[in-house]
Amino acid sequence: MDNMQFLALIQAYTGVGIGLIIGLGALGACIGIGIMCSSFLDGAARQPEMIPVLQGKVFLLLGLIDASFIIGVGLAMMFAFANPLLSVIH
Amino acid sequence: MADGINDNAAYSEKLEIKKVVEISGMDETKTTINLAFKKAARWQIIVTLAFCVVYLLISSVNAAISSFLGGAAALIGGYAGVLMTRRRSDQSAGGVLVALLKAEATKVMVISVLLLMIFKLYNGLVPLALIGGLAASVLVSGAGLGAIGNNKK
Repeated sequence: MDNMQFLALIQAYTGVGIGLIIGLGALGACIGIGIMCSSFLDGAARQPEMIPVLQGKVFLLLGLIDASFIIGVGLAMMFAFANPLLSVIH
Repeated sequence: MADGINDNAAYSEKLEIKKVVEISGMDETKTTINLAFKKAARWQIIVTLAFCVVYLLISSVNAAISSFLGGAAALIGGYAGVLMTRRRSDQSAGGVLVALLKAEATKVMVISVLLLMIFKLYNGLVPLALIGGLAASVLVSGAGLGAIGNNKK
């Protein structure tokens, strides 16, 4: 195979990889946020006076659950704009 | 013994929130989020600067700047999320949840746009340093959670 074919192959597989990184990351974050929000609503229904205390913790936990997704987005952008795998054909 | 310590921590946290509510005039939920963000942001800044120094020592100035930009993107995104929660909203559990989800969506959007700009505009970028700084800063934002129930400010 010549270099153009290698380039096309690497770009195609990288595109699939980027889709998987973002898609599976979003899926995991959505499931986690869904479970946490249902627990928050459950707790708020049982003890409404705890809503202010729970809200701060929910906010930080949202950030933690989304952390893997945000890191995934960063990695996906790295593969999209500065793909290290392309260096093998130079 | 442990319950006594936890009760003490929860009581001092409530006192702190009450004090800030009296001084600032904000409602209690927003004050709790502000305190949590303040504690998380402090750790994010410390870790970002530590990574920056490490990359400066083991690699180059560009790597240190990239690491700093990654950490700064996470910090600015978090602040944008907090700004969204400050807007007037319904104080019921559902309203609180909607406000938090809006804040989270804003945070993700802001971080994505900032990363896109960094990748497009910064020519001397070191991608692994950027991802390292970003990952460390985002992961350590959970440190605020541990600090909520403590006496430490």
